[in-house]
Amino acid sequence: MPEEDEYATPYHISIRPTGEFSYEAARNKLISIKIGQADGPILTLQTPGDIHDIATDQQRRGNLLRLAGWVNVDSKISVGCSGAVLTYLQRKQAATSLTNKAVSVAHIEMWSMNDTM
Amino acid sequence: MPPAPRRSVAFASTPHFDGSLPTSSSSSPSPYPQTTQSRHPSSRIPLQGRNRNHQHTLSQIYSQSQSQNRSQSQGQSYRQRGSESDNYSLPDIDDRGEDDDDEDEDSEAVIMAIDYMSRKIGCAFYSMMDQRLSLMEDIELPTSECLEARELQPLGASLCTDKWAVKFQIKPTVLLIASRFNETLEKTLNPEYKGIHY
Repeated sequence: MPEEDEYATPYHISIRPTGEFSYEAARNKLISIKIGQADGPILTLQTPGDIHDIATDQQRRGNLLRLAGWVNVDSKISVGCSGAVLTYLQRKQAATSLTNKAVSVAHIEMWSMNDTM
Repeated sequence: MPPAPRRSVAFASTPHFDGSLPTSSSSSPSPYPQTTQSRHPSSRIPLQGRNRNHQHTLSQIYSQSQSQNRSQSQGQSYRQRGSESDNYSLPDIDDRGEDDDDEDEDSEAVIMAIDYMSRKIGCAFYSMMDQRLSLMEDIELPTSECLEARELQPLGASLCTDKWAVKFQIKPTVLLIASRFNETLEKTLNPEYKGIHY
């Protein structure tokens, strides 16, 4: 191991299975976070086709719509990455549950490198 | 799905709290005691200097959790954290050891995942400090320098002014990489290789 120069970043690298980066799973996880659910408006998206299964499916779609307001759901790679991050958090939560230290997501945002360059 | 390889590369130092915990590594059930110990205590002096205001907030948070019986100086509370992490050792749950090395030192941790697929780079990171999950727009047609810039730029920026230091904080303490591309990325993320650009 080389002696550290000033710019060396201190971090662990953990190589995760590709499945944790799956887009669909990540999006479902993001939907289930339910940020702002308590005080925000309740969204329901109704289209002529879906009369059945109103309770769950519409709720899910409303949450998806809400999620799409915060993040660009089309940037699939990043959404998949967020799934990996959330998986990591859940695992950490499970391992430290005795300490009652909640690992929760309070904000979701888009971030860009615009100003860093 | 076949079991994916799990490795802890840890070529650079782990989160800089560990540097101040010389006692915990000997008694903790970490399966990687060598990587924890092989970091150099000398390396945390520049790190602490760089993250001075970061640490200040952290110590506030930490002292909240400890406020019931102790109010002590910053250095002492770090030592308490070390003894605490011994109490939290959970060998039965600890089946993914590399992630649990520094379970309790990470209230300022930034967990970052990065992925590269079909000529697009995506990134998301979560900051324990403000519980914020940030997603980046996918970047199309990246080169390996692009990845490197993501790692380097916040560090370089943090050396400039305080305003920059506060603003660009992707200094991940945990970096999650998809197993599909470990080789090329590892080479890119090697700290020795980074020095070339500066």
